[in-house]
Amino acid sequence: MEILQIAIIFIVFALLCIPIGKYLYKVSEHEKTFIDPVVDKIDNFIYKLSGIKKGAMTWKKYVLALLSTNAIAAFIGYLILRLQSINVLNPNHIKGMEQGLTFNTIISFLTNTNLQDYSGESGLSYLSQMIVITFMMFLAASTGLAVAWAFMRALAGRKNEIGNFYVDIVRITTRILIPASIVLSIFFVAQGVPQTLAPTKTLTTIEGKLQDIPLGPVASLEAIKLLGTNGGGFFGANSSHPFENPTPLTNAVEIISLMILAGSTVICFGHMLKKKKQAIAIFAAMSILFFIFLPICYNSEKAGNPVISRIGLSQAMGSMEGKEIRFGLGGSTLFTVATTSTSCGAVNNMHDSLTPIGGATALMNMMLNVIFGGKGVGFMNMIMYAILTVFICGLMVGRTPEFLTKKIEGKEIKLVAFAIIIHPFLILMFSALALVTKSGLAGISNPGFHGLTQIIYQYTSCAANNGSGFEGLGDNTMFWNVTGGIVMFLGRYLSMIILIAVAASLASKKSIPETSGTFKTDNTVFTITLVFIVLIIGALTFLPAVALGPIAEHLTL
Amino acid sequence: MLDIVFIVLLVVGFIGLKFFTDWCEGQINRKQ
Repeated sequence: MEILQIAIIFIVFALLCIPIGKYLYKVSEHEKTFIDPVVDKIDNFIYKLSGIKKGAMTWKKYVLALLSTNAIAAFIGYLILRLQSINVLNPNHIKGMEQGLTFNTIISFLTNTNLQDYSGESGLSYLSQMIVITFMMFLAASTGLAVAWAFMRALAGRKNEIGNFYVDIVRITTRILIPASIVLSIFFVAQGVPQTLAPTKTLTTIEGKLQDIPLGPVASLEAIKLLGTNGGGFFGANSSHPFENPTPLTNAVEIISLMILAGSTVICFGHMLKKKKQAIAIFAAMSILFFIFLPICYNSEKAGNPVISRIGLSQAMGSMEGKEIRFGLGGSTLFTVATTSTSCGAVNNMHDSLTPIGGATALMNMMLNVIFGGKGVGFMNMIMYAILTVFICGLMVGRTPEFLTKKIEGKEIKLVAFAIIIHPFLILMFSALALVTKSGLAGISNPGFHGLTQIIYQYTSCAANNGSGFEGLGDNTMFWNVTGGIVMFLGRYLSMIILIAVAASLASKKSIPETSGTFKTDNTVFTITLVFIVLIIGALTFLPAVALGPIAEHLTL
Repeated sequence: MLDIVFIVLLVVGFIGLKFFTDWCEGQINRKQ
């Protein structure tokens, strides 16, 4: 039954990607859509109000527009979180956020990471939740998707016409994120998710004790949290909280919602290139990787925890520690694999309580960071690996490597290699720093192999802009807030800039006509080779760290 | 005081990214 549930959710996701991918393409290319009569007026009003000129930008102008927009949002958000104690939409009288935590939180939400070193119900006013957290969820998601569009346009060969960043984020927000969020919010409210500005309620339990029930505008945040692959919950318990994810149906919808735009981006790519087979090859490679890790996670959790079994507690249901009964093992493991594949970071179970191998799959999904990915990022990373694949295959057969009819030269490979190295560098170097400093080691709540996994997981989640927490780690300290903030910042922007530059470099080259000797990048051979390249590079880079953490822990159980 | 440190850190970060963008532009404009 659980496997059937997983299969149905994935099939629905894959089928929905087809029309939504086509819709994304139409929005990106300014083609007519059913929503135009309403939204055109809103868009034009926004352009007029903010003085946006619609002309196309060069790749560098596009990147600078992105950086300046994000920088302004960061400074305004920082001020609001520091001054949130003022009595505006703050019925629970939440105090201003501490400086280090504010730094971490702003970068976290700006970079689509949504790692939370605070608990929303006690750390944020409703004003902060709405105009900082929810706003940044829209901004970060639209920024990621806009960059993916710019990247695709460049790969499609449009020299100096990769779009206009401001127009792209307005169109993504008004035509994709807001309409979809409204529909999803209404569904969540119907399922019992609160949407209110009323303060926390204090009730008397049946035992006669008093209990605080936190409320707030949860449904609206929940929708963009998932659609934008943001992942930051209204409550500390995230999607395991019954007010964020009350039923098995909401759980299934949440999984599909967090994957849908990431998967649809690949289909959009096929339309943009006018090569659907290319999109299918990339989508298939992502799906193969997804189904390599999902059964490992599921079977590991299904086998149960031998330590708990030895003390006489039944593991017939599998390892249910840290999981919600209403989702079961299937709904929990699928959520775990989906959220770590897509760099969403929402969680519906405690990742710290996963079996070592189950936890390792979540960790490796984020280390690879190519399986569907967040808003555009995973897709761009997969293309980066595709470029590397054609380069390696070209070397093997002694031909000049080509990708999408463009010659790959040393300068592109140099930048791609740099982009590939940044991710493990940030994870492993900062993990090493945490392991040699008192402040870093102080965060470990479970020393030994598991403690090492806690540290590696934290920086992997930051570098991949995932944001899921292994929890257990005491991360609300100056050391973890500052280092985590730096890793999220560099993990987000460096690879984005590099990949747009690489795509722009390819766009500026002449197309080489395809011949019978051209290495095809849209067939099964390429898909399988791509999967192997991703796995080999991932294993070469991360296997020692994974062996010392979760694998060693598994062997000692 | 700490506020100033973090604001400066953010400013330096974004300015650094601007220079990084310039460096990438230099790389892709290089003749092979």
